[in-house]
Amino acid sequence: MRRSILAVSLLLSATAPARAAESGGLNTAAIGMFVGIVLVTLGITYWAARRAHSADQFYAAGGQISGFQNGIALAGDMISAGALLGLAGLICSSGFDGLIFAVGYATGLPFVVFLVAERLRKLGRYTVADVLATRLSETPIRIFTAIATLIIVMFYLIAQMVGAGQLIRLLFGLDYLYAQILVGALMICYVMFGGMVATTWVQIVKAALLLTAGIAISLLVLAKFGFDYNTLVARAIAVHPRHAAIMMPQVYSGSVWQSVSLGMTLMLGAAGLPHVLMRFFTVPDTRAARVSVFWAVMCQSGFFALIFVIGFGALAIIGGDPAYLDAKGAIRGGGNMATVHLSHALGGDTLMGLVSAVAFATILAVVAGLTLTGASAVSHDLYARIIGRGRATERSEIRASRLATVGLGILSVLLGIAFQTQNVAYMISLAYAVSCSSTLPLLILALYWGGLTTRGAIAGGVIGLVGAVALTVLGPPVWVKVLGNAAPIFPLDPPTIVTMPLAFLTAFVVSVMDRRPVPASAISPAV
Amino acid sequence: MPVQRTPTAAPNNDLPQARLGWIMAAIQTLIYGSFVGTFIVSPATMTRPIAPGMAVTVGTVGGLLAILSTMILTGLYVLLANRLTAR
Repeated sequence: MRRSILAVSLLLSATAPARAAESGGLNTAAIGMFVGIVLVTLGITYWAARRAHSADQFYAAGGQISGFQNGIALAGDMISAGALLGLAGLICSSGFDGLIFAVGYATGLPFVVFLVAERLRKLGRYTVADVLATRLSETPIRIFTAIATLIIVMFYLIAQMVGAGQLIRLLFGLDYLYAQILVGALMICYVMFGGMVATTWVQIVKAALLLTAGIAISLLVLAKFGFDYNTLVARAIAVHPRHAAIMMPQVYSGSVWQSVSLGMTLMLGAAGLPHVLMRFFTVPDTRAARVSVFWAVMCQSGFFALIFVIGFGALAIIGGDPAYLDAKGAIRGGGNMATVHLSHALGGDTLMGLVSAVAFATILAVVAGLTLTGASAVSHDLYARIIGRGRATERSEIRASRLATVGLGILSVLLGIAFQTQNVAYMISLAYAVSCSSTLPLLILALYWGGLTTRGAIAGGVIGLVGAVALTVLGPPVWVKVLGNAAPIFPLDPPTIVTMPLAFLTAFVVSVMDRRPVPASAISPAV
Repeated sequence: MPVQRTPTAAPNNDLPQARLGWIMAAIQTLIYGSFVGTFIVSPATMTRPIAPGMAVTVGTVGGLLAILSTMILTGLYVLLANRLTAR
């Protein structure tokens, strides 16, 4: 353990400053904060490693995380680098669109508290499959849920890894490939040695940093405009080439179905994300589960409200400044750099270094949470419960989860390299679509409808999952933007409005048919 | 010392906060739905300035209020559910 941490620190101290020197004039505040965050998080991991020896500690931090702590960590899970960096970039390029996403994401978490959090905590131990297996046939439901979890986690992970690589290259001058390896090594280290305890505390540290940075930037932006929000928005409108038209979201310019589908996905997606749901197993009881979502909503919604200031602030301040734009008038380094440029414009190298480091911490915390969730699906659901048939020892189960962590870590590094040029935002929307169409319907039906049968659950889940992936591939995000075809075969992105009702309906119909009373002749053979 | 946490059997819909949860979810859907719906049905309403000569639009304020509603509804739910389960 100690040796591995040392190795990672060495890797860091060897690569970061060396690279910095090569590209010249790099931000020392950024490097300092970056190294600081790595050291703090490795310290947390070292402390947690002494506790993470039982399965309960590894998967659920022994159920000893308080409601408040879990709430902060949960907000951390919800606010990914895409939210911190991507939304402001989206506002810079297309205006109100970024706010549509901010409002949608903010609306998601309350549903988790209203409908699933408490029941999940009451019924489950470590994973979502535990909850479903309390009333459905264990083997098929675990296999399905584990696969759905892994698919969602991988989409999400790829998006985070690609974002991480590009960001670290821009911020610290570290090559994309090394950035992938560095992020992969750190996340494996946190999860493998520190389990849920380390993952939760890394997430708490990151959320605290993120909120502080968000508030600081917002105050500085408002101060530039005499604390008059209207002046800020007026300036943003004046700067953007499309002027007042940016106040109309372009995401709603398509068909009504398209707009409604996006709205549904943003609102309901969070309630089916396995890495969010897994957080509820870390608290002692249902009351703490409820309290934790309260704090999570406060932090998360507060942060998304700040996007209204940060996003328009980025547009108003750097949108009109050639220093931050390329020849075509787009944000230098891509949309994800908008928040970083804004912090530079507001507070020079120091604030920029701080924000870059916060973004880096955000990525690390989110990928660690995702990896832990994926590893739990492999080691708890597939290895211990299915392959081991519940007879695997705790020791071997923890060993399996550590192996799965390493495997997932390496896989995500490789995929991060393979998908280097992909658009980050679409991967996330794909994960949300799958979540809305597979895990969420099963969970809601299992928690609230006594009539759900195993066959119904599997049929609904498979239809929803396959439908969401297939229609995304045939739709605008992959068929047009990746494969380069002129028109999509399926017009909606995301496809949730089709696939989610389809999953519910299939699960319902198959369950009802499954339960049809067996014909009398079959029960009582001629006596 | 691992804490033993045994899952209980089937879900019960008659928990007092179950109905409260669905009511809150319905209100939240209504609020978010009217934010999205107004943009779709009547974009002019949402892109109109909140007062003549202002840059801030109705949609911007609506979005902020929708976000604020998540905090209020969640706070209300936690308050009521804690009271219901304390009995």
